[in-house]
Amino acid sequence: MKELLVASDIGGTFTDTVTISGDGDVGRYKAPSVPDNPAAGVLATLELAAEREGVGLEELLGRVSLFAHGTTVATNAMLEGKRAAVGLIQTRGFGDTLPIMRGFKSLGLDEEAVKSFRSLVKQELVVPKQLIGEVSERVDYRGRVVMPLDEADAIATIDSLREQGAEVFAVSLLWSFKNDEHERRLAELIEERCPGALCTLSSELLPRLGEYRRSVGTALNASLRPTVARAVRSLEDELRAKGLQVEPLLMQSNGGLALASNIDREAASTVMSGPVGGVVACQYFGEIAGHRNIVATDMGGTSFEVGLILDGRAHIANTTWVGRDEIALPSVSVRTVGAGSGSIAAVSGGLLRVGPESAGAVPGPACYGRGGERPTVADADLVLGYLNPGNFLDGRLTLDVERARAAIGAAIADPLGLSVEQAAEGIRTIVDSRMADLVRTATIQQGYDPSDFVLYAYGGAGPTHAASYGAELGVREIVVPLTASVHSAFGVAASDHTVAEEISDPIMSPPGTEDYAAAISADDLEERFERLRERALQALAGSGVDVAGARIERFVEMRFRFQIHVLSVPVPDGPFDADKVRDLVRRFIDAYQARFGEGSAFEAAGVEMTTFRLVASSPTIRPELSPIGGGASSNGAGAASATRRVFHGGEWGEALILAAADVAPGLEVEGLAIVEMPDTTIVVGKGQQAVVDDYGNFVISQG
Amino acid sequence: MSITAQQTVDPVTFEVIRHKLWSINEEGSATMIHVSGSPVVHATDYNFGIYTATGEMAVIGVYLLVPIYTGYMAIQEFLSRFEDIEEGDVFIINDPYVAAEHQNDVQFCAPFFHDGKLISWIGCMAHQVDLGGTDAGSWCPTATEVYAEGLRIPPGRIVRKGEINQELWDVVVANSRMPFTVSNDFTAFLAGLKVAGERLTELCDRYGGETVAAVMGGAIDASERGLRELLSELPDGTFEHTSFLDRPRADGADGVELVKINCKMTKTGDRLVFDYDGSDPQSPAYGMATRAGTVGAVATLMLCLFGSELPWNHGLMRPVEVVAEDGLCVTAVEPMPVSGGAAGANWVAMNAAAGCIAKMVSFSDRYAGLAFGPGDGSWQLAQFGGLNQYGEPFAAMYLDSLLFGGPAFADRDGVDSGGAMVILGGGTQDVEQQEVNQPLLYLWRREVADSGGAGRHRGGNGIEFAMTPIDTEEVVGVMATHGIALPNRTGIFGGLPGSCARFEMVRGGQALERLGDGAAITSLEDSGGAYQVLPSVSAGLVVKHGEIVNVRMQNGGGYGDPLLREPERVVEDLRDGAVSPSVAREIYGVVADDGKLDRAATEAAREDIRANRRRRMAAPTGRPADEEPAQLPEGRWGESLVLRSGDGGGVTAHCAHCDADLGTPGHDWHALVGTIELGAADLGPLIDVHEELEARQYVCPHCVAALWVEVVPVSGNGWNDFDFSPKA
Repeated sequence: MKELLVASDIGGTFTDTVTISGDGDVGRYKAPSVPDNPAAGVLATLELAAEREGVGLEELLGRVSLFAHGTTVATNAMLEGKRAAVGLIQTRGFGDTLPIMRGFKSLGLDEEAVKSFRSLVKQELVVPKQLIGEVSERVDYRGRVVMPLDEADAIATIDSLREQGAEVFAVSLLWSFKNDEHERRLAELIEERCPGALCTLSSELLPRLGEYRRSVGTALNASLRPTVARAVRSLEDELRAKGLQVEPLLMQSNGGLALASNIDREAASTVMSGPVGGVVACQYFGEIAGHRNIVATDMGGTSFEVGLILDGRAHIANTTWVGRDEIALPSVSVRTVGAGSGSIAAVSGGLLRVGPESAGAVPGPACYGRGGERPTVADADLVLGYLNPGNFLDGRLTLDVERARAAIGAAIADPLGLSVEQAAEGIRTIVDSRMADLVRTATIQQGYDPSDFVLYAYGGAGPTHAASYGAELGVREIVVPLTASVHSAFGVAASDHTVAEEISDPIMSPPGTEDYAAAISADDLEERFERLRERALQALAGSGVDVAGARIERFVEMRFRFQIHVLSVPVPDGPFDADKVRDLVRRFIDAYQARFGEGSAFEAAGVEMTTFRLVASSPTIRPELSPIGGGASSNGAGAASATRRVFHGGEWGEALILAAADVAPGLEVEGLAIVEMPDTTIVVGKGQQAVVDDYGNFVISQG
Repeated sequence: MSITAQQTVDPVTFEVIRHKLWSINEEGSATMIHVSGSPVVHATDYNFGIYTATGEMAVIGVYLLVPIYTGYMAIQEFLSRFEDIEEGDVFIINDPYVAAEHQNDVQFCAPFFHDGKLISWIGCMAHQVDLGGTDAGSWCPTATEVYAEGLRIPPGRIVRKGEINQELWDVVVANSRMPFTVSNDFTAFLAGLKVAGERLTELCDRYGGETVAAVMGGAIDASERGLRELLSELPDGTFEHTSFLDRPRADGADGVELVKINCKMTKTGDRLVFDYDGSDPQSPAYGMATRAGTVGAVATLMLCLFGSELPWNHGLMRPVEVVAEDGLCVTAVEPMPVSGGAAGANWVAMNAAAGCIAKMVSFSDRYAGLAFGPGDGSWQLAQFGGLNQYGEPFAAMYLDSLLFGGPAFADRDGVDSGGAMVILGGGTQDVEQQEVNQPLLYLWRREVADSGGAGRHRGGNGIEFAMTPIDTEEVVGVMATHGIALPNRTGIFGGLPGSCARFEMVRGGQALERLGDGAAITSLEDSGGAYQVLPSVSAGLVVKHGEIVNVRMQNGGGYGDPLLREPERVVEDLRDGAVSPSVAREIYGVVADDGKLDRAATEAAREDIRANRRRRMAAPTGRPADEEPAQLPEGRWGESLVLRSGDGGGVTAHCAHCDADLGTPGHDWHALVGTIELGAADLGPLIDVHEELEARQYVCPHCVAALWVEVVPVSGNGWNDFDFSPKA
C-alpha cells in the first residue's frame, strides 16, 4: 500500500478523481468543482478517498507516488475572457491575417447557422485589431531572407503594442518555420523593451505551414500562459501544503502527460486536457480487452463527443478546434455535436428538431424542477421509464415526471398530434440517430466502417443511450466501463509521459516520379528525425524522466502535391534507406486509397512530405487493474429485484431493473434491462445481451 | 420508373432521414475535396447536392451555390434527352448554353436507383483549372466567340453502367493544359458520388426508397409552403432595380462602355416573377451570361435571402419564375463568348434582383430584417500561368478575390473580407500555401479602410493583395472583372455604395531588390516603378520580375444614413483602422481625439454635413399634377418612409426620421424628396462613377436625413423602385 496513483479530471461542474493502489484497487470519487480554486475539488475528492481508506488526508497525500490531472482551465479562460492581453506581431502587409481569416465566415458552425446568410458572421478575434502590430521583414518559401528585419521598426511596434496595453507577446511571421532568425531576434528585442514579458514564437510552438492557424494558435497560447501557469502553480502549492510530495503532471491535448512546470510554454496544449482523458481510458481498457479499434463516445449534458482508437492508438488530428477556430496544434481528435441530455426538443414548421440548443444546468431539463419549461432529452428518458426519478445523481435530485410529461405534451405531442410517450420516443430516436450520424461521419472519414469497431460509452448520459445509437451503427460490442462516470480521470491515470516534436520542412518529388527513393533522399529523412529525436529526448530528460526506456514513434504527414489534406503515416522503426522511402510512400498511397477509394491516388502530381513528427513517451507508473472480486455467476434475472414499465417501440413493456449492488463479474443480463448505477443509468436494449467482465465493465452485444 | 413524393412520413422518421441526407451530402462533398488535387477546389469553388428523381434540389451544400441550380437544369436535360438512364450511369455536362455558368464548371450527375427504381440524383461540380481555349485557365475574357474558349461538353455519359467512358474522358482531358489535374478532379467526382451513393443505398435499405424520396419531396413542399405564406404577407407590386456591367469598349476604341441589366420583379399573391427583358442585348464581348448562369444566380439569391428563414431546397424556387427572352446579355446564345459570364452579367442580374427584393421586403415590419443591398459585386479574375519556381508549368486562379466585404443589414454591419454570398462555406488559402505552389511573392494581403459603403450599418470592407514574381522570369496573367467604373453594390436606405473593383500594376520596378536593400514596400507608390491602373479586362498580361500587380475588391454597400451611426461605433472603426479619420469626419461626422470620441466636435461636424446637404439639395419637384396618387400600402418602408392613410383617401408619405409630411406619392417617390448629386469628394477615392452615370443622394427635405443613394444614368433613372398600381 505504499504507492498510490491519483488522477483527477477537474471539470467545470464536478471534479472526478480515481485512485489506484499498489494492489490494483480502484477508488472513484466525485465532488463539486470550486470556480477559481481547482485544488478545492481535488482535495474534496481526496477527503472522500482518505475516509474510505481510513486514514488522514495528509497521510494519504504522502503516499501518492503520482498525481496527474486534466483541467479545463484553458477552456474556461477562453469562455470567461480571462486571457492576458496579447500583442501579436506579424510580417508587414499581413497584420490582417487574423481578421481576414482566409475569408471564411462559417468555420465551426453547423449547417443551419451557415445557411442563415442574415446572421452569418465571423467569430470574435483572438486578438483585437489594435493589439496587432506589423514589422518590416520578409522570408520566402525557401527560408531565404527577402528583406532583413528592420529593427527600428520592430522596436517602434513593440513599444506601441505595449502602450496599447499588451501584457504578453506573440510573434508569428511568414515562413518563420523555415527560418526563425527574425522571430528569435524579435524575442530579444521584446525582452529588451519589456523585460520579463512572456513571449511565444510561432517557430517554436507550431512550426508548420499555414500562417492563419499558426498565428491564431500562437496568439492564443501567449494569452493563456499567465492564467494556466497561475492555476497550475496554485494547485501544486495547495496540494503540497496538504502533504503531496511529488510534482503534478498535467494532461495535454495530445493525450500524454507533462510536468506541470513544463506546460508553461505551451499553455494552449491543454485546451483539450479534459476531453482527451476519456479517449485514453478507452485505449487502456481496449488493451486489456483486446479491442484494437474503438469508438469512444461521451454523452454529457450539452454535447456528444467522439474519439477514435485506431489499431490500439488514440487517433491524433493535426489541428485542434478551439471554439470556432482551428489551430495548428495536434491533439487527440475529438469531434463534438450539440446533442446531450439537456438538448431541447422543439417543433418548427411541422418538423421535430432536437438540439443544438441546450437547457444547460440552469434552468436544466423540465424534470429538474428548476424552472426549465422546454422539453429535453432527459425529460424524454424519464417519461419513457429509462430513468428512475429517485436514482438521479445518486439520489441528490428527485426528477419530476409530471413536469417532463407536461413539457413534452405542450411543445411536441400536441402540435404533432402524438401521445406524450410517442413524442418522447421520437425525441430519443432523433437524438440517438444524430449521434450515430456523427460516429459514422467520424469513422467513415478516416476510411473505416463503424461496424468494425467496439463502441465505448461513458459520460452522464452515454450509457443510457449507447444501446440505441450503437445498435444503429451495427457495432460488434458496446462497452460501458466501470469507470464510466469518472472515465476521463481514469484516462489521465492511464497516460504516458509524452513529448511531441515536429518540424515542417517539406520534401517533395516532382510530378511523374517513378522511383520515390531517387527523388526523396533517405539521408534527408534521417537527418530530420534525428533532430527531432534529440529535441524530444532532451525535453523528456528535462522532466526527470528516464529516457532509456522511452518509446519513440515517428510520423510523416504526406499528401499528393497540390492537395491540401494530409494523412499522417507512421514510420517503421530503424534507419532510413531507399527501400524504406519507397515503403513509406507505398504506405501513404495505400492509406489514401483505403480512405478515398481505389484509384483516388494522385500519383501523377508527385508526393510531398509536409511535416515530420516524433513522439517520445515514457510510461508513468501504470495502473495495474486487477479483476474485481465477487462472483455472481447467476443470471441477471435472479439478481434483479424489480421490473419497471418502459415505453419502447411504440408500446409499454416490462424492463428488468438492476441495482449497483447486483453488479458483479459474470453477471449476465438479457435486454430490455436497466442498470441503475449511482451516477449513471445503463440501458441494455431489447434483443441485446450484457455481461459484466472481470473488471466490472458492462459488455453489451447484439443478439 | 421513378418515385415521387406521395406518401407521408411521420415527423420523427422525417427528421432522422433529413439529417442523414445532410450527413450523406457532407460525406460525398468531403470525399470529393479530399481527392481533388486542384487548388481551386480547395479554395471551395465546388459544390455537392442531392436532387429528387425529377431533379429538384433536395440537399444543398454550402459552397459555390450557382451550380447547384444548374445541376437541376442539367438533370432536366438528361431526363428529357435520354430514355435509357440506368443504374451505374454518371452524366457529364459543362455546356453553358444548356446548364452551366461557364465551361470550367464541369458537372457530374449520377442517377440513384434503389430496387431498380430511380429515387434521386446526386450531383457535383468543381471549377476545372483548364479546359483549353486561348487563355490559360480557360477564362477567355477577350474572346469574341465561344469557339475560342474552353471545350464544351454536351450532355452525355462519362460512366455507363459502372464502366468509365474512357474515350470521352480522354477527349476532355486531352484538351486541357493541366490534364493530370482535370483527370484527378474527375476521379474526385466519382469518389464523392460513389460514397454518397453507398450511403444512400444504406439509407434506402433501412427506410425504403419511397420513404427517403418522400422525405425529400416533403421537405421541398414544406419550404415552398413556407415561402408562399411569407410572400402572401407582403404587398403585391412591382419592384425594380437596374445596374450596369462596365467593360472596355467592344469596338476596340479607348474607353469604357456600359451594358444595362434591368430587373423588374413582380410579386402577385404567393408568386415572384423576375423579368429581365429590359436589359441590353447580347454582344460578342466580355461578360455575357447564359440563361443557366442567370437563373442559377437568382436561385442563389433566393437561398441566401429566404433561406435565413426556411430550410434550403427547391421549395424556395418553386414560386419563382425568371422571364427573359433569348439573346440578352443575361441569356446569351451561341456563339456568344460566355466563359467570363460566370460572374459577369449574371452577378449584376443577381444584384438587381437583390435590390428588388430588398425594396419589397422592407414594406413588412416582420421581414424588413431580411433586406440587404446587392450582395456580391465583382468576381475579380486573377489568374496566372507560366513556369513555376520548380521549372514546371503552372496555372493558378487566386481565390483571394472572394475576400470582399459583405452587405450591411438593418441589424448589423457587413462581414469584412469574406462576405461572399455565392460561397457561404468557403474562403481561400494561406499565403504560405500559395507561395509554396506558385512563383509569386505576396507583398500584402490586407483589409482596405473605407472600402465598405458607409451607413448606419456599414458595408463590409474587403481586401487588396499585391504580388511580385519570384524565382521565375515572368508570369502571364488573365485579369477580368466589372465594377471598376461604377459601384454595383449600392447601399440601401441612405447607405453609401462600397468601393469599386480595381486592378493595378507597377511596371519596371525592382521589388525584390528594394526589399533586399531593406526598403519596405507598403504601397504601390513607394515601390519604385511606374504605377498604372489596369483596364477591367486584360488577357496575356505579362508581369516581369520586379513588377507588382495589385487587386482590390469591390465591397459591400451600407444600410441607412451614415450620420445615424452610433458615434462610438465609428470610434471603434477608427481604432481598428476600418474607417479613416477623414471619412469619419466627412461622411460620418464623427471626430475623435486620441481614440476618444469628441462629442461636441462630432455634433458640430454632423450639423455641418446637414447644413451642406441643405445647401446642395435640389428641392422636391412634387408629384406631377397629371399623376394619380399611388396605391401604396400603409406602414414603414425600411428606414426611409412611413406611409399613412391621408385625409383625402390616398396615402401620404412621411419621413421615417423626422415624420415630416412629404406629400402623396405618385409614380416616383423621389419626386417628394430632395436630391443631391454626389461628387468625387462625397464618394471618396475608392469609388469611380462612369461619365454616363451619376450618384444621387435622396434626402428628406426637412431633416435632410439620407433616404437612398443610387447610381443612375445622367439622363435620369428611367426605372421605378416600386409600383403598386393595379396591372393594366
